[in-house]
Amino acid sequence: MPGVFAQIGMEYGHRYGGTSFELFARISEKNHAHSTLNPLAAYSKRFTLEEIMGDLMIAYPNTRPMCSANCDGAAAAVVVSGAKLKTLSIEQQRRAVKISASVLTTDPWEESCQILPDVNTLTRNAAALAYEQAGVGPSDLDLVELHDCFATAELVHYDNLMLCEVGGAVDFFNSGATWRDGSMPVNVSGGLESKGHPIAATGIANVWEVATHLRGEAADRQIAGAKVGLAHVIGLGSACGVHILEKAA
Amino acid sequence: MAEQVPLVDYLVLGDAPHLTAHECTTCGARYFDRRNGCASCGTDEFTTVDVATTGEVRAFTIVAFAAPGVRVPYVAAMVDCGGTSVRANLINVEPDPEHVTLGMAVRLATEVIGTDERGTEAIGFGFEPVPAGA
Repeated sequence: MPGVFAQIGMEYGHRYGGTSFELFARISEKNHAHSTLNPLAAYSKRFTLEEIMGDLMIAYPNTRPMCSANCDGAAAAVVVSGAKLKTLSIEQQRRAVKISASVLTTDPWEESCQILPDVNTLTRNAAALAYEQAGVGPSDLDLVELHDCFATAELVHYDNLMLCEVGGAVDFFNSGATWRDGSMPVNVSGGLESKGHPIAATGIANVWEVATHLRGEAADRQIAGAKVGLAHVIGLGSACGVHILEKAA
Repeated sequence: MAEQVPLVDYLVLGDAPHLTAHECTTCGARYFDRRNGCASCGTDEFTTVDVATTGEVRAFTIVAFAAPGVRVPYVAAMVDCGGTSVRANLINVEPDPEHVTLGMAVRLATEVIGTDERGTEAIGFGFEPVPAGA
């Protein structure tokens, strides 16, 4: 698994250029820095770039802190209709978050999908459909929680989720956009690399993180004024879920 | 010479070892191993074609941590052989990022991966760097 996602990131680098071991390590540096504000993260320690690059190599270019953490975890969402919501308490109505898009996609055939799982096409398809369903675009998003099962995966999903121009993920990351004080905060929870990857719970955990910011309940890591967010999850084979959530009116 | 068996059915041994693929006669999609239907167009007729024995490294990883009994480090790669993507290890090369690079030119190579008590050799394949000037 680490090798598969390492190659997915390397393939992006071959196609568009600009990647390096250090670049992928800096993505991990960002997520671990974010995790220091998340008391629920499995690892909430900040690592220096040198520590990340010097840690145990798992599958080049991913070292141990660049891989999602093995852990147990649980997350849940309660889904109600608009009519049902009106019967609930004012407090529950205030905390409710609108599901503006809910999309699940699977793989179409691609030339190389028999030898390397394709996590790109189905994510791009899901994102396109989600933006259409929600009537919002990437520039409307206040935060994104995406499936950084490995640091190499986060890079390709900047592009797949259309947070940047096609082929522009490296420049986008280098601009600082995806840090929590950037124009498009990504994985302010610390991501799967920090908060852990309890496989079945991961998708809902990403939804929960976005919902928590939209409710204004994210404490020290709150993205101020967050109104719209996107949560992304994939499973190899492949399936992809994208949700766009909006703060209740 | 000892009897040899290929690791996979799509590896053809002999004087000029090469890989074969099942190509959809309708849309040209290629598959290794047995295929009943085409995942690209849904038809069910295939012909067998030879895959180019040289290619370019499109992606690689250097696996440094593996299950007990698996020798590390090794280089796993995706090689573009004239438009057909092949998954294989890179062999006969130092497994480090100074010697393995994206876009490097490689060629198919075979190696003995095991021998049974009767001397029969199991033959696997990988890709090795194309020497300068070759």
